[in-house]
Order: sequence, then structure tokens, then C-alpha cells
Amino acid sequence: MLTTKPSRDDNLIALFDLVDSYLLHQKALAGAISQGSLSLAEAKYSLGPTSVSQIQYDSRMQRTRFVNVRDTSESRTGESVFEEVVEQPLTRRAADGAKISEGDDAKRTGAANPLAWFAPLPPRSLRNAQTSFVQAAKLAIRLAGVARELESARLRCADDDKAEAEGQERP
Amino acid sequence: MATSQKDRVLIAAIGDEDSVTGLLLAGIGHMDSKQKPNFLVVDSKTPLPKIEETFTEFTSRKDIAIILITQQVGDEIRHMLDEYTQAFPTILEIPSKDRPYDPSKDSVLKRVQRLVGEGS
Repeated sequence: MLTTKPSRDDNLIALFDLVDSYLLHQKALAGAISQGSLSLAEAKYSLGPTSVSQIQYDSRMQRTRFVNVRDTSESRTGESVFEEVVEQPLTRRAADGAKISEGDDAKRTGAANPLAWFAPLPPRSLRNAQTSFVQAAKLAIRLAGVARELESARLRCADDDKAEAEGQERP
Repeated sequence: MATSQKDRVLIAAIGDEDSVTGLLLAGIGHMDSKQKPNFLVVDSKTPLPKIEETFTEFTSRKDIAIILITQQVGDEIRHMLDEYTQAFPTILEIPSKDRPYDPSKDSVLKRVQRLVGEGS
């Protein structure tokens, strides 16, 4: 089956569409970060400013949100190069169904919910901050995928310009 | 031959304390077996060489897929962001509570601007 190579104009249109998409995603990300920052400020007010700071970070933290990088030769058109992966924080239940405190096990594995670093009973504001920043992280992963596509489109357009310039140089 | 990127799973973060804390709440934070973190909290006392050194380290690690950097910190190492050409890790400039996103400063968009500007 014959496939036609996209024209220079096609590549430019694709590039500008990606710029639009990039800016839209940035706007959504800004909203999530703004909301999260507000909730974080509320949490600091209720818990105390030093209670929600890097002093409380778990020195054995392990990522529960990460990505898989797709092989671009296998990914479908429109599919992001980054696939988000989420591992649920460690939660154990006793034989009778009661939830076991994450306590020592969480300290050993570092896979506890990060909320627990800051307060044994995190206030609603801190939970809201986490919700907003989870949304921000999801948007950032999507945006990173758009950024990769944008860079690929830019390089295609640059190649088009180079080919056109070389075509014009030949007598 | 295409290099497999399957080891690149981490999302790194460089920014002010609130931005990094928020992203860590989202679960991206990681300490590897050598106690090396995938984040850097930048404040007014953080020396510029430390930011540059961390950026260089993150961009050469094989386990990092994406680096999120607040635009405010990005402005301090703009020369490094503008010169960065690797496909991975992908660098993403993000807004922070103190500094809204400015598309005119984003290195990704500046490269597009240069292309369009040269072609017109």
C-alpha cells in the first residue's frame, strides 16, 4: 500500500496544533497547581508551617506514581509516549478485616501514603492538596508526552526547511 | 538501532518547597538504593552550582523519564535548558505558586519560535 509523505504544510499544521495542545495543557496544569498550593497553605496554617516541609520527607520514600516509556514504533497514532503507572500505597488488613496501621511495615518499605509523613491524622486541606497535585502530576505526564510530540514535529519541519533550501541551491 | 528506554520510569522534580512537596504528595518521590533522591528543593539559599549540578545529574541518569522544573528555577539555568537536546529525560517547565507560566520563556516553545521565525 502506498503512503504519501506529509507535505511541508501538513507538518507545519501539525506543529501548530501541537503548540495549541501544549498551551492548553499548561493552562490546565497551572489550575491544578494553583489549587494544590492553596490547599497546602491551608494545611500549613492548621498544622504549623514546619509541619509540612522537607523536614518531614521520608528518607526511604519509594515512588508510587511513575511512567513507562512506550516504544514509539509500537505506539498507536495519538498515543502518548509516556504511560502513567500508579502503585497503591501499602495498606494491610488483619484476618478479621480491620486495617493494620502502616507503622513499622511502611517505615521499612517506604511505600506508605506520603500524607502520613506530615500528620498521623492528615487534615482535609492536606488531603485536598494531595488530590490537586495528583491531578497536576497526571497533567504533567500528559504534557510531557505533548512536549515530545512537539519536538518531533519541530524536527520534521526543520528537515523540510533544510530540504527546501537544498532544492533551491541546486541550479 | 533504537535504545530501549524501559528503565526510565521516574519523574524528577526541581522547584520550590511547596511545588516539590505537592508533587511528592502525588507519589513521584523516590530514594534509590544509594539514597539519591529524584528531587531538589530550591530556596533562596540554594547555590546556583547546586541547581546546575543537580540538573546535570538528573539528565544523565538512566532511570529518569521526565524532569519537572518550575519556571522560576528554570530561569536560573535557562542557558542549560536552551541548550538541552536529549529526547530523554524530557524536560517540562511548570508554573509555581509564586510565578505563573510564561510561554515566552519556555525553552520548548522558544525552539519552535526560532524555527517559525527563520522560515518566515
